[in-house]
Amino acid sequence: MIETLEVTRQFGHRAALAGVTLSIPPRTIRLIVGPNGAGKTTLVRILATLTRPTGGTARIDGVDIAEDPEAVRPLIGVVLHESLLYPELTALENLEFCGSLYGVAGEARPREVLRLVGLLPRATDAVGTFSMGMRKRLSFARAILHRPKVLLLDEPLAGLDREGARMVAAFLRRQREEGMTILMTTHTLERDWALGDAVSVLHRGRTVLERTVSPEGLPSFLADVEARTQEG
Amino acid sequence: MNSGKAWSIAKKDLRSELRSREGATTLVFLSLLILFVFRGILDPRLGARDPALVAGILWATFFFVGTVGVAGTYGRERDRGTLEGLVLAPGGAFAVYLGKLAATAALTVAVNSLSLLFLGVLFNYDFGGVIVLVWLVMLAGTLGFLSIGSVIAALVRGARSRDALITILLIPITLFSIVMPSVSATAALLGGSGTLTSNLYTMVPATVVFVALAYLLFPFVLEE
Repeated sequence: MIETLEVTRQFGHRAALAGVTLSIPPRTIRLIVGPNGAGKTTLVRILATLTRPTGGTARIDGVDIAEDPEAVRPLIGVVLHESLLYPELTALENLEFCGSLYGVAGEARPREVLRLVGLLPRATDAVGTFSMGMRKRLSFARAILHRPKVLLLDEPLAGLDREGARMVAAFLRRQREEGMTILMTTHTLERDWALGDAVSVLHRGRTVLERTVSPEGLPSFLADVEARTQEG
Repeated sequence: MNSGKAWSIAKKDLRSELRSREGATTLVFLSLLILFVFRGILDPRLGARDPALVAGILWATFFFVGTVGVAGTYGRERDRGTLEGLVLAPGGAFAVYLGKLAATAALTVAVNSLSLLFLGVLFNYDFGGVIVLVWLVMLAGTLGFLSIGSVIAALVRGARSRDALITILLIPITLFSIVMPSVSATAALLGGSGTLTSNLYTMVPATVVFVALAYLLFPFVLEE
């Protein structure tokens, strides 16, 4: 569903990605971990068609993102650091606007996704009055509004309290069960380990380790990460 | 290009503006301020004798209102981090350009229309029967100005001194293609020398070229 082969991205002389190869099967959650500057955000932005890769290939549902970004866009839902929301508009207006961009007409689907993220009672409130956690949940509603096949999430749990993180984690599991493929970056693996089906480690713009998630596998995985990143 | 996307963006921008009145308030005050400055430094009776002066004052006002108006278009989206949401949606970059252009034009033309009124009051100037034609020249000139202004505003959206950059880049690009022909066309309508049509022959093709440039460049302008 998501496949990348030796994807690179240069910013001037600096290589933000130096060769990322991933193969993420459908209906799974893949965690992408790595320290700050490892290239996680650049990878998400490339897959989201916001940044053009310098080299390599990346495909979503078989469509090459560099060759046909327009065909990729309806397939993906994206949550970035920024909420992509307009504070002076209400939650419902934000979703109606987003829906109109994706050909989702009317109030029914926006109301449905607002209910999914627990914000239906606040549908007619301006987003400017929302807490950070509520904005994050509304960002998820925005991302799934057009029923994408793939969700690309850049540190979606950052800044959320324990309850908010639990709610989002349950939401993501439900999306996976409904058939979505999810790529999610994080640098708090201890918290998010149980959420993923597999984990890929980025270090200095490369994938250095991949592992299937098992309930008791975190300590050995962290030890392997330590060893690999010190080698690098 | 998806015209539905352009229409949605224009509607969203106008709804946001109606809600916040952020841009309109700034532009109306700017327009008044510029006209008050001219009113202070010039003999207000000069206007009745010199159509070129009235046209010059009008277009100086329109130029700065347009520059500030267009600067906010992409600057606000970038500052809020919402521009990515527009790029991510299917429908193409040119639809983003058209949608933002339509909303900025609606706001700027509304404020420029008020500027015509303000000038009439402050300079005790009667446009007479040509007011509609003057308004149409203002519309054509403003659209031409904003058509390239939108490209520049999107291009420099991430720059620290983007407002200054927009002005610096817009002056040489639009001075001979849009602003001066607009001044001459307006002066001609008000009884000065020159003709309306010869100036429109410069403004209209320039606008077409600017829009064509936007069509070709905008996908790259919005890309990182």
